[in-house]
Amino acid sequence: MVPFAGWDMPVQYTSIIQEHQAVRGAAGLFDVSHMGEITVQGPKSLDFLEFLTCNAVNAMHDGQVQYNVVLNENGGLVDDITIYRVAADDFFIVSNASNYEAVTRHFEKNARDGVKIENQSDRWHQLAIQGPLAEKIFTKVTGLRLNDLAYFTYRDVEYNNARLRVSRTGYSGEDGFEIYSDVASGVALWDTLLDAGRADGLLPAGLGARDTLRLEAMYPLYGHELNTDWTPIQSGIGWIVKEKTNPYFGYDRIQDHKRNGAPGRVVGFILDEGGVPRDGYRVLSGDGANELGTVLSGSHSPTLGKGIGTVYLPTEHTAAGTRIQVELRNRLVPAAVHRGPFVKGSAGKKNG
Amino acid sequence: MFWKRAADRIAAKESHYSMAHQVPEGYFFTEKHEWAREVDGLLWIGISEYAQDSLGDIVYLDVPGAGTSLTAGDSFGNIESVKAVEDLYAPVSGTVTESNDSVKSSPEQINKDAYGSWLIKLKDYNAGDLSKLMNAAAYSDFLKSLE
Repeated sequence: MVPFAGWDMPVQYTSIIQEHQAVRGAAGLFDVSHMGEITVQGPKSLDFLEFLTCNAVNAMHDGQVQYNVVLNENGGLVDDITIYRVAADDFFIVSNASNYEAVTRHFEKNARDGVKIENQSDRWHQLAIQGPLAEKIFTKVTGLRLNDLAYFTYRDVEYNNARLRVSRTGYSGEDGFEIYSDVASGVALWDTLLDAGRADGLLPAGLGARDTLRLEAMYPLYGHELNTDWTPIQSGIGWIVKEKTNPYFGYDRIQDHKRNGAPGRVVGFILDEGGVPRDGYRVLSGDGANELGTVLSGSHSPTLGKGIGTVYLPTEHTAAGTRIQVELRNRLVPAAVHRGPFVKGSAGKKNG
Repeated sequence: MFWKRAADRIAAKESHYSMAHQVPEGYFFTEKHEWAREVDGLLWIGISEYAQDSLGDIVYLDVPGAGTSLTAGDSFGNIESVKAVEDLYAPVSGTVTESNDSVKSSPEQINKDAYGSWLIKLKDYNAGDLSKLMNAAAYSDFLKSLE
């Protein structure tokens, strides 16, 4: 067990690799109650969110979920978030465990036009069921009809006299759902799902597998690929950067990076030889002559059977296949720059 | 809300230690959880059940090949799991005759059978040095002291 942002959380229930493979091959159940939930309400909510984020909140419809980031004044990130549009004047925002207080403060500091911000993190329980069999297991066990729920949309449903907020989203690269509820209902649902789902291969999965899965899917993690300095372009999530009529925080810097290129960006890499790259290890140019950066996230990829990681590199070293070296303790291991997901799972393939 | 999971954790912890405490006879141990065992005039070196359980999924093993001379207490290689990387320390001085290619290519064997998975074999060691290590009973007591 490890303390994580004030929560006592399991890194693994059985084995990180076993849990990882359950999610890739069948399904895994994560207790992610440590995530933060913040509501933004009022007639001017949309303008407020448009000003603090770079993805197009104004293009969302009711019931849609959007990946986005909260920007600071400089165009760096306070956090990455998912925004749930409940109504045009009502948004439900999910933030990282370590950041929801910073996001709440940032929202409150920049609140205007009567926008109402509420940190509801203590009230919500969050489960994630992820994997190619997640839908089958979840709908069979609960009897809920969610087969038509599209990727990155959500629905509020009744189950056992409680309200569940269910979205087809996740952090594993696989199809599946994230389920928000009151705490008691979430705890009961955890037990119900595990008891009934084990026959189909459902396993409880911990933080260790959550991290290897998200890294294989090349999903960023705040404090690793995302920070207060880098723009979304530098962090490798430039696809969420939109042009807007009313500029958001850091607009000029971010748009400059988008149009003219940033000095560097986050890319993936795969080691040629055995060993596990870990956070903070030095990364050198292919000829070993220059130190280019340090590993931001590194792990063994259970799917590829190789060491993988992310690194921020100067732009001239970021093309796919560019040779680099990673210093693993006492040896230099050759590696190649990788662009895009390391592993393409089932996410988005159902109702995508 | 953590009531049930706290109970699960206690049960898991108890089973963890009871399994890790089943230390086989004929093996000698370091405080860093390497084992050494004499077989046919060579000294086989591995890591204990407690060590593999602490590491979790082992994915990489870096150990020296034949002819390398080792000094007792010095790091001779490292072992990596998904979670962590740890140095391996020579239980006694000696010369490597062989490293285990099968375990190197499938390190998960160590998780399945820590006492059956030797990593290297040594010759030219002093058998008297084994008395400086812990026997099964002493190592078992040592593990209990770590709880």
